[in-house]
Amino acid sequence: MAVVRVESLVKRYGAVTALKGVDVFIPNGSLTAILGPSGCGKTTLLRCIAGLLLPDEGRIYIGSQEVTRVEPFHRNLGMVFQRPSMFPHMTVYENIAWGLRLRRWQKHEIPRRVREILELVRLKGMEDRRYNQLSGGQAQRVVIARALAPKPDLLLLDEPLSALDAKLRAELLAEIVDIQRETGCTTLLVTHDQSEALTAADNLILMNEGEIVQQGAPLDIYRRPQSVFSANFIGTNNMLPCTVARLDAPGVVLKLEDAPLELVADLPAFPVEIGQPVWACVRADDIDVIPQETAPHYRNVVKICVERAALTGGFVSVEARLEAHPLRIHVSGSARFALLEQSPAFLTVSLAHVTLVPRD
Amino acid sequence: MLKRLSLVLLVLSVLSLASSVMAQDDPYANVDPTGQRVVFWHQHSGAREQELLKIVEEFNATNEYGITVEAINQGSYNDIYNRITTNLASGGADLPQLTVAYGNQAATYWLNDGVIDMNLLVNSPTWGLSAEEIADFFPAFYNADVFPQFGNVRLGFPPNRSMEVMYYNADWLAELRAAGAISFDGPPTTPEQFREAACAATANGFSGATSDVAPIGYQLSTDASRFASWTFAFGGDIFDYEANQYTLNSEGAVAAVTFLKGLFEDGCAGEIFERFGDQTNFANGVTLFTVGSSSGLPFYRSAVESGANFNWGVDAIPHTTPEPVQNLYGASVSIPRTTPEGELAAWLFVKYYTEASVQAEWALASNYFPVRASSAESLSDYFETDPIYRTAFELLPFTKAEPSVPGYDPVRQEISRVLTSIITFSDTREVSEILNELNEFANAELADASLPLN
Amino acid sequence: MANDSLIPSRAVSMASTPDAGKAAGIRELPTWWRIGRRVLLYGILTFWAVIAMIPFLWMITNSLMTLGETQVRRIVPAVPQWQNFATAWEQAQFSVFFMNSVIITAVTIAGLLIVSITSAYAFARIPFVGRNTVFTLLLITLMIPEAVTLIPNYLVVSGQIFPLPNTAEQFPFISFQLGNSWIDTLPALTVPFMGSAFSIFLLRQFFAQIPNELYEAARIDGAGHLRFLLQIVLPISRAPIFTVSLLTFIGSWNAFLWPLIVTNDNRWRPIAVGLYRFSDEAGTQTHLLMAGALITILPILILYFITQKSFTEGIATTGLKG
Repeated sequence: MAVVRVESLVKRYGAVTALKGVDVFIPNGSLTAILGPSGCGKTTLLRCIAGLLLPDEGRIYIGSQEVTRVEPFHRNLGMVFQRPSMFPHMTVYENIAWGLRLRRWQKHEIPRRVREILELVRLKGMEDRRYNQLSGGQAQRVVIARALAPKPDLLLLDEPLSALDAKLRAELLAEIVDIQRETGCTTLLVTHDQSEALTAADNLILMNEGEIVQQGAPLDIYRRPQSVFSANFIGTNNMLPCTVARLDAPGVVLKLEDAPLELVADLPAFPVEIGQPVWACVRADDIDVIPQETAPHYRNVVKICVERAALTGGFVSVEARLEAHPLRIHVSGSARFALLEQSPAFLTVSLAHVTLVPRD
Repeated sequence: MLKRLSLVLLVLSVLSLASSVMAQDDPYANVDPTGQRVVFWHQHSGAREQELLKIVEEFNATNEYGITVEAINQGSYNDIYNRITTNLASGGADLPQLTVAYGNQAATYWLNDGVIDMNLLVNSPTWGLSAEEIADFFPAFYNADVFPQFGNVRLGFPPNRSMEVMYYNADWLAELRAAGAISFDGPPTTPEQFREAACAATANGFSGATSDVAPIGYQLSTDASRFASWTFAFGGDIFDYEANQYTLNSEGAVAAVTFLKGLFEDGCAGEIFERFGDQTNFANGVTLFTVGSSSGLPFYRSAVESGANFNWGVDAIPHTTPEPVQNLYGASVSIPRTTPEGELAAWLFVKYYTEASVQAEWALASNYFPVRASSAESLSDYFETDPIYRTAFELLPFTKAEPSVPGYDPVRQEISRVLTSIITFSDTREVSEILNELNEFANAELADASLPLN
Repeated sequence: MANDSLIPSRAVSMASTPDAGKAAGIRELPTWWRIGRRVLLYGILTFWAVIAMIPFLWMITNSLMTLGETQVRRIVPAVPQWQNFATAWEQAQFSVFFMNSVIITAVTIAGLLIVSITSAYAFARIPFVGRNTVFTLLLITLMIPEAVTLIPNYLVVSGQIFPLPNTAEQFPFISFQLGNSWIDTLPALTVPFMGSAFSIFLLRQFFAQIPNELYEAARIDGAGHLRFLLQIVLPISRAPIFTVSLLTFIGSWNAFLWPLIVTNDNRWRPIAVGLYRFSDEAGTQTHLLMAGALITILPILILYFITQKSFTEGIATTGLKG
């Protein structure tokens, strides 16, 4: 159990700078997800924290100890990799016991601990199996067990679910969350899959191009993105160019550009001035289709021109236009099929939740 | 008084001069071989090696100087030659005290200052051989290791020899005689008789043959030693020692090769297609004559016993000369240049090795011939049991040898190649023309090889 | 789905009628052609298999004949001469030479494994300056023919290039030569073969395929390169290690020319040199030679059968998924 703090971390690979002065705070006992597109530096960050890479500048603290240049072994970590790193010539028991032996656990303690941890990952009774007798998911659970067996301060997971098939992913993710709740071990999960991050994490770090874009609770980032990147990366977002018309606590009134339309948005975390150009962000799922007569009960009611509607599994994806601006709506709920059947030309919708991000 | 003194002085000085001259004549006079270790490199294996080791043990146990000989097999003649030349090329530090060597190999060693002139030891008043002992050696054997082209130095000493003989199937010859296919009794003594018998055999197979292969009178292996043997039998030679030049195109050689070619043209002789194929066919009663080394006698014996099991024998190569002329060969032992003590100790062993009684033992076990005529006395019992060996032994006074000159090995290979091309008719030129060309090649090799190694 | 329904019907049409097959562009082969082809194939393979076996069978039959029978080229012996093996053993002093071969081979394999495994691991998994250059140079040496290196190796081993460590002092039981030459010593017969570019190459290729995740996981648990090599890499590298050992065993056991050159004495000569003694200029004792040869290859055959089992086992248990 430990807090992890990273200060101004810089890591270069030749001409490429993978981490450009990163500051991170990971609360004790949290399940933190580091999320970002490929090449954003999240794996580099994780490996620096693990000690598998040495940063060029900056400092890393685990607990109260500075560990920037300390060997991984001395950082008291467990790590799970993308591909199962189970030792193929050893049984499940030996795999887990190996690490314990290396850390000089007492001989009589080891069997008990192995049994304990196997029960935790729901592999009870599989001590004598070998790698080729386990499924991908089971192997990954063995690796998790091996990582947690020596009671580490920190558990690092580097895209642990990417090598598994879709159905297994959800299952294993849920287990990881359960395990983390039970052990209370500070956990860092690197992933490029936003649904994973949103589901599992209680703390989210969003990265792009070697920099931290936003950190905080997932819901926070989801509802209150602070940059174009944050807004666009998670979910499907509509960005409408606006200017600030009035400040009207607890909201802000925006005027849509090139249109005689005003929208009410939430007060942003950054200061705004009248006349400032901003992006109004509306998530495609935050737009409700309402019957014309109920309009007064909703905010930001607008009329949109429907161009296309398609069924995409759980929702109907509607491509429309608000004035001149493209708008995408995800319509869910039992009424959504009506849209397909009827294909109306116009829709009345309510932009239920609008946030602001800076525009420059 | 002064006169007496000067006389004494004169006598003393003459004496000392004489003794120093005598010492110069015998550089080994004051050398002490006590306790020396003699390393002997040889190529013998199996039963021969066992016998050699026995002889060595006896010498070690009985010699009065405490000399210890260590005889070690070092591979084949070729392997030994390669090692010694490599050694000589890099300074000659680790040479054995005694080694086997063919004459031409010893010649190469001499050119590179690798061996000593054994005349100094053989003729040494202190350590050498007496005149009667020397007379006991078969002359051809004894002189084979003396090299006129180097001023008559002796570069080796013969511990054994073999010779080329003609093997014949006596029962088959008797059959042919009985059928009137040939006009003489017993083994042929002239090339004409040989041809007659060979051609008759090709037409009339042996009744006791144990193989379906078509009968053939003679199978020739195109070895250079066969070339030499037949040339000798036709009264020629392949080397002129006076002129130090090859005579591969001499009258005798041309006659011999033409004779052999004639046999092939008439289908009375055939090639050999596998190693020891002639021996196999002989044993199966398919081939009437073969020509090969006398050291192969035990091999022929066991082959015939397992084959058609007929009466057979050996005799001289059929010759145009009044007496037989047999090709005598074998390796001698040479003494490399090491230390005077080592060289002397090696010589003392060689003396023991070539004593008549030791030679008799050695001959029996090795199937070589002893080099001393008096060994015949110890072998008389053996002659009773093995008349074929005795026949061969009695041919020993009538021998000639192939040349011991540097570079002889590549010449041997070329002779073999040329002989093959003649009898397979792949080279259809006149025999004399081909042999002229061969002779030029041989002389060129001789010139090349007479230069030192480095 | 529209696509799914298409696939089954297409599969049916390919198998059923030739016409449908032709329509799809595939020609259906007539039965007689298929059978005939199989017969032909098996026929050719059997033929070549028999040809390959003939020398071996000839060796076995000849080892049980008398000398005479081998000379007259009999096919099978009249009475099997089992004592040939005992005779060959004595005559060629096989007891000495056999022991020597065993020791030489064991030492060579041990040394080779230590050298090859460690260097292959370094080439595969430890980055160092000039690693690729050195590895390329190593590969280039594979192209140098043996005959070219024979004499330089001899000069080095006999101490003529630079003085060699005087093993006689430190290891008197393996050396009988004092001074700075290794002629007639065990090191001369073993050390030159401990550095095999081929073995290093083979092992290096295998080690390089081991996923990095394994190493990192081990590292996090506190293992360094050495522990990782010994406890993780080696147990899963059984197949290439067996291959390398077997090839070295065969090479070392059959070595003839080099041992003959670097020994002047019978003390350390191996078994192949002993076999040489059955031929001399008068003729070859074929029956003993064949018996001796059979004795010589027996250990190789046994080792081959043993390792072949472990081979396939080894490959099956090390299937690294993902």
